[in-house]
Amino acid sequence: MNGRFASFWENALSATLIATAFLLPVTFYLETFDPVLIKHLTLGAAATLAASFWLARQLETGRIEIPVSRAGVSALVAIALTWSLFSYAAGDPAPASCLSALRSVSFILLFGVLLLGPASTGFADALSSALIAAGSLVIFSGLAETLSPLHVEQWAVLSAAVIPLALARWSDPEAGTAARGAAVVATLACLWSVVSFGRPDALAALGLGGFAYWATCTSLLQDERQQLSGYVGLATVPLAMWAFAARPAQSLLAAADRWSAARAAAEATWTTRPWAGTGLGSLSNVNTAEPFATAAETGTIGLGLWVLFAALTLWLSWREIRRRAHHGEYRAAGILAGQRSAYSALIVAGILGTATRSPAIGAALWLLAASVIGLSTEHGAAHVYVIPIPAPTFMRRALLVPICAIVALVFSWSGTQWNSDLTLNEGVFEHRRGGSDAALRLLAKVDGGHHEVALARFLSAEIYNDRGDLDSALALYRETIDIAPDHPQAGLREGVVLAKQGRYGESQRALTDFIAKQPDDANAYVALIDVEQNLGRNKRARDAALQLVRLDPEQPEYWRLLAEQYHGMRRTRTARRLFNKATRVSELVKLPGVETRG
Amino acid sequence: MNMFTCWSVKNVLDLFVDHRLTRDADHWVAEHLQDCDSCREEAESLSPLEDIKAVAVELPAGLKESILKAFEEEETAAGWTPQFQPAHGLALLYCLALGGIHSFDRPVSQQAEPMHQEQVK
Repeated sequence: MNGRFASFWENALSATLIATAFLLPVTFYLETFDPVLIKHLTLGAAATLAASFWLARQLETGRIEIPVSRAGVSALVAIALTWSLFSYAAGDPAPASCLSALRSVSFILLFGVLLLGPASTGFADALSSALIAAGSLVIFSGLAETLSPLHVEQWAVLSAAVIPLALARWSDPEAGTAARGAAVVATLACLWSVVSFGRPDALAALGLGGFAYWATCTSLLQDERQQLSGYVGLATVPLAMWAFAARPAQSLLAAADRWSAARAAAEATWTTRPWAGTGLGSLSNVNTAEPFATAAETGTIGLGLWVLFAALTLWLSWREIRRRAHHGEYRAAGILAGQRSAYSALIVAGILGTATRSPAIGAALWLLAASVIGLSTEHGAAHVYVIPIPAPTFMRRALLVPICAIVALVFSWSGTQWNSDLTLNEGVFEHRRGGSDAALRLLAKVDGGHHEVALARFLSAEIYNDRGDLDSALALYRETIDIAPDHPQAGLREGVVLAKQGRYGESQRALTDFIAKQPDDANAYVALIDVEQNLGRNKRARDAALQLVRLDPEQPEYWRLLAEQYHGMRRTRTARRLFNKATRVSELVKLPGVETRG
Repeated sequence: MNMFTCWSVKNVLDLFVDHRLTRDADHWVAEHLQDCDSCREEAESLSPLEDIKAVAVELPAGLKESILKAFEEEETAAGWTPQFQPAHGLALLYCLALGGIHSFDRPVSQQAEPMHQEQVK
């Protein structure tokens, strides 16, 4: 064993984990076409890299070390990882949810490698710094304005969780003046951002995080500065309540709806597959609050593991803070109190909202949990269970080759997807700027990522359609349908282009197929009426118009179309009545307070 | 002697010398060392403590004071400046590299207003 080599892998693992904690929230700023995809890719790549560094270290030392005090939790991690993979394999998730499953597995991997790797007081301090730095970046509020509402919610939750960490940093007995000043700035920046964003789940996290920090400091720590910081934490509770009361009822109702939807999903699962759930990654990321989301996806066993991890984190840390404070280790006890409170804040935000299902906040939650458990079990971690690897050094190092190959494969795949996303974004921008030739060239380069390629082909088809190059447009619409059969527009556009070319029979088939997939698309019925008329099938055109009127009876245009069909069938009296009806509906919708649904 | 056992034992010898193994593993290594000369020699080479103890070396004059002074200076310096660790440096490099890659290949779209999925028809 080469000690320097092993130390290098250990440092690389620590660096990856710290960089992940900092970079994932910061990727909110990346102006990519789909920031969520980029964050999923970053998380997956980071988890793979961290796991590889951990494995490389074990191979270099020639043994797998499991600290005795962490053996129980490590066994739980192994069970959670196995169950997650089994749940994904046994469930029936759609191909698009592969990224969601990758995210959940990545969380557990990050947790495991941190617990079995660098978990210590020094690492906990570095992790707190990374999270404080990431959360404090919100002070550049001008950038936050460009974020979509979902990202603002995540950022607000992170800022709320950062406050106990910053308070712990301020009250650190060994901190210098500069570090304390930075902690004060971070606390103020985060407080301002949470209150100004006004997200209900972030405000709840702020209040509970502050309360938990106060309860821990005042009951377990005797250091005066730490107790004072506890009271500052407590002051965030009325602040959060004040900001909460000032919110419009709509945002609170939206949060309640999300919670109800997640509970309904969990109940539906429990009635059908109570133990295994519907499969990892089978729920959409929107409107899924914890722990119902975990319960619905991974069943009672997954929910049990989730609750067990949370309970262990809180219980072990409480015991350890008391022990360390008793021995006068106020610095480590303070860091632990801050991280424990931040973890509690994130748990509350996850229960009331969807933030902990996102890559950045989820990674912060699991890294904090591992750090807290690691610190809580540091005493006694020197004794280890070992699983020796019975091979000489050169053979063990040879095993690094397949590991490197796997990492290269994951990074290559992520890089292709990332590059496609950036190229798509650039192409869209060129199109909006009017440079359609440049846009077409860029969009043709998009070749990675199922979703991205479908969007690029569809947008190219739209550009050709606008130019009047119907053959090229048709070919690209068909390519889009091949890639994404459920694309919301491609089938309709194919039918319209075929009609423009006078190929009414093919157009009728394309539109009928599209309506079978999306029966509520009014534009498809309008196009179908035109096609059936051209085919001379007046009755079928009338049937399509009837469907249109059923879809939205408050649209006068639809009644007029129906009247025209009856007129074409020489049923003049019916047509006249329908024309009158169209006029009445038209006058009705002009009245104030009446809005059409179309 | 089984070659695989020797490899396994040699891989955990440093933990054995530091008394970091569990009781069962410790017993297993100790038993093996009784029978295997090669592994015992390696174990002895890893634990020079007995040799050091055997020779009572007299400390040079002023060594203790200079060590204590160095500790005090280090503690004073550590009050203001952050303690640099290799992991911090690697994390910084990682972030800088990613930021560099991103800004090097900066697409035109990022020089103006950002694009969001919902903006595209």
